[in-house]
Amino acid sequence: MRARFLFTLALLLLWAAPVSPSNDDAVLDDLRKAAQDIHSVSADFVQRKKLEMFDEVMISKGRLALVKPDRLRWEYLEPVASGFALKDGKGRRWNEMIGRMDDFDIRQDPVMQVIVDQLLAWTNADMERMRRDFTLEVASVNPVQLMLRPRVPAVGSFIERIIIRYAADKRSIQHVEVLEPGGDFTQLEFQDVRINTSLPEDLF
Amino acid sequence: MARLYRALEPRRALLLIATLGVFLLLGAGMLRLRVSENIMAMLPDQAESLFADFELLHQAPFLHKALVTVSAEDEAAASGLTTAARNLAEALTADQWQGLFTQVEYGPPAEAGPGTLTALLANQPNYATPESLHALEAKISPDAVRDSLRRDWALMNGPEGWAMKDLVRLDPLDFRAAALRRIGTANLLPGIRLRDGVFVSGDGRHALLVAETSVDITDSSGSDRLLQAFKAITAKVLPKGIKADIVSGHLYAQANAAAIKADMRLIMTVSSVALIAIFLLFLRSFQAGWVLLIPLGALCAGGVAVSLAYSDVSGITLGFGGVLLGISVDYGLHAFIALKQGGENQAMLLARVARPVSLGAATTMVAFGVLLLSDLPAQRQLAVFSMAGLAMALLLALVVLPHLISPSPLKRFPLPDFTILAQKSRPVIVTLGLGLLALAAWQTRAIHFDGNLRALGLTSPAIDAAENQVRRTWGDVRGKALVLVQGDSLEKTLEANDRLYAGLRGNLPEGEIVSLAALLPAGSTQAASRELWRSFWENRRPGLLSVLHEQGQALGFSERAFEPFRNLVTIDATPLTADGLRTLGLERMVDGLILPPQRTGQPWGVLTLTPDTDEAARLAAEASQGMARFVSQSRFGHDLGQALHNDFNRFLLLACLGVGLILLIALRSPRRVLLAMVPVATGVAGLLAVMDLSGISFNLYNMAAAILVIGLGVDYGVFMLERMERRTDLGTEHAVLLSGLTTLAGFGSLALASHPALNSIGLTVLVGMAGTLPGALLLLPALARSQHD
Repeated sequence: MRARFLFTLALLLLWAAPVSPSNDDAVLDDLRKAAQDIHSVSADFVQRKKLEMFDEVMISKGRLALVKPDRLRWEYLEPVASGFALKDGKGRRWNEMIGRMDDFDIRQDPVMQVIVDQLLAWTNADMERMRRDFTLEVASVNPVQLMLRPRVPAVGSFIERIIIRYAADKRSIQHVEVLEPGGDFTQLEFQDVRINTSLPEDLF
Repeated sequence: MARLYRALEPRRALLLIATLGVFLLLGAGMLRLRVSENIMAMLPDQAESLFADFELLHQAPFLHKALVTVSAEDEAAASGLTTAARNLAEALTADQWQGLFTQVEYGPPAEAGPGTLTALLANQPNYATPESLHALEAKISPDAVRDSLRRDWALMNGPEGWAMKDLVRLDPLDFRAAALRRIGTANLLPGIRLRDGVFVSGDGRHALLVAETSVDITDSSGSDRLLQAFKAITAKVLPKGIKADIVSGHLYAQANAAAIKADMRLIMTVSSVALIAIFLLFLRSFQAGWVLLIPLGALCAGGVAVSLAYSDVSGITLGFGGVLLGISVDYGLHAFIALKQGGENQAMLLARVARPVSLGAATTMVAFGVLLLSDLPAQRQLAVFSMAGLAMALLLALVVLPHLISPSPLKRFPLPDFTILAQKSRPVIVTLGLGLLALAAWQTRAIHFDGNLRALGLTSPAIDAAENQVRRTWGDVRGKALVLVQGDSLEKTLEANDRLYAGLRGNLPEGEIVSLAALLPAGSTQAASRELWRSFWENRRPGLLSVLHEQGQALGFSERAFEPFRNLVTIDATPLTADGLRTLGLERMVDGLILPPQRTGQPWGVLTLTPDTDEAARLAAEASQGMARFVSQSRFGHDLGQALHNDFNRFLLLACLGVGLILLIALRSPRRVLLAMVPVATGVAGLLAVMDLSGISFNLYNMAAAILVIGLGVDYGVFMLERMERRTDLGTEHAVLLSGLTTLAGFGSLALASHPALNSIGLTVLVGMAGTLPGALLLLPALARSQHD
């Protein structure tokens, strides 16, 4: 009886124990392999942003489209149509609220560069790219959940940590949470993920 | 002299032992010589401004750092550029390379980031001007406020909101354009962008590393080690499609050292073979080897004399002094050939040759003695060196050498009788000679002195290509002019800097001025700005904040969303300081442009970088009321060239006067003095004519060679005049020809060198001797004979 109890306890401890460092690489490798044959991703998302600057939580709906390696469209459809599209380092921004559309060069916009770099890194499962500015830790394996913490103080000044949860098949991201210093956060829930579908050129 | 010879004849062994003792003493003295390689020895020490300019040029940002450009061959490779740059930076500072590279930066410091811009925006009150405040009017109208807040809403809603929150809270109405321009004005590398935290070029195909090294740029072997290590590291670390090039002073040190080594191997071989051939052909006596003791003794005596007179001997003096060995061997050659005539006893032959040799030495010593009045420390050392060396050469030639050689006649190489040849072809020779002198007189108006020290160093196509690439990719970071303002305190200096900037801005193209004034105005300027800011907002604040609150609430912004902006337009800002800028990650900008007394030993200084143009110099002088110092490599070279020109002109005049006076006293006739100066005239004339026709300028090195040509010309003139007037043959033509040939073999062979400095010495000697020798052997006899006929 006592032995069975100890055995069960050991199993529970193993279950509850954080993934050992030696397993992290294997998990990350799995993610990399799962993403290898993906050349395009599109999805809808719901964003919840809690900012001290706003009285209430901002809820937006939008769409994401990505064609590897670096074509990206990130747009909000509700409550206001806004967003940006990026291709070969050059992009276009729009904001229905102020009726504006303008072009930008990612190379001359260091903030956009960091943001876009990470968005591409998450969706491409590009661990090397993610590791440039963040440390990676596998928080759980089922489902796979990564914890990213900034390496660089300049990034750490506006992001405390990022949590990325992958779908069961590891081929797409299900949920992203960005926590900012001071308690503000952004949660992105991805739905209706479509992989390797043909995406129109004019999206970018 | 005959009496001295006879007195020493029975005491020959003692004389030789004493000579050996003197050589050993001199040798010991030479071993203790402390040689310095300080280029300051070639700067006129009376010209304080040149020294100050030279020191200032050394403070220029990037001058003493190595710039590494990491380049991607194509777009595919460019995606890995920033990773490659970071990896290379890490590898360069790895321990295994023994600290060759002490620090390598590839991006802004860790403290710099979006927070930097936010912090600068919080300092807007310290930067306010009537123009900047006027520009804000358009941004605070109700419509503009509404548009700004809608933009802010979209920004906060999007992913950029993560990084822009603090900025938007402080600057909801987009005042930030002016702040960005300010950072740009003080940016030492205005063409640069940031990608992945790495400095990259506008096209994203090049990354920049700025490296500091423990190796001094004058250390040629250290430079070689550094560059070899760089080559090895880049080969190991960089992936295919990415390469790295380094640009620094070490490239030049390595190239120069390698070139000089290769050149000296060639030249030593050629000159040794030529000298041996000349001695065997013309002297045909092993005893002639004793003559070589004379330049050795002269060199040691000169070196020891300088070391006794000065604490450090300039390496430049020793280098130039070696050139003077060409003169000291003359005296030995003349004495040797005269003593090997046979037919008279040695004492009588010595007495006869002693007069022209002594006169030649005296005139040459006077000519070099004039250098004691030079403004260049190295030239004054050269004067001491050469006078002591020539005195030793004279002593060895007339006192020691006669006792080392036997009286048996020398079998001379059959030479034409130049005197008879000159007589037969007198009209042609005189016409050609006077024609050359007239041409040279005409050419003196175009003498050009090149004070550009860099032009005397070797460069190569690879180095030029690397420098051009830096200029194309990153701008002319190493070629800008420096404008220095100074003051007793940092505050006073910043005030002067503000005035300077106000005068330059608007008159020079934007992006061409790098100034700290836009980022760190003087305290008094900041106080005035804060007052302007306060009065601007006094009446406008209530209305604006009301509109901001109303419009903000309509979009869902909280009551305190723009609290930082409210404080900005309400509460007095604190003054901005240099330390404050450093904490914002702007340390490189601040420390690159502020020169504190503890670093320079001078009053406080602030640098501004401008284009190296006359227009910029004029504007700087006007704006600072003549108080600013405008310095650039090109101007320094020009000013140094001018100083050298003045010094050389003074030397030439005084040397001619001094030599003329000595000759007048010795020869007692202006006509004879002029005759004796004929080889000098033809040598210098040939030099000027050829240099002007081929576009060669005088520089630090060939000036010394020109002095050699003048010294030799005087000697030959004196010897040949003595020959003509005494109408006796002491083998003078033989000795003059031999002396000229040995000088050509020893120094003219430097014309084969690839190194510019060595090459210019060689060419000068070659051309100079080509004029001096015919002048001595043909023109002087033709003119002298025409007087005697």
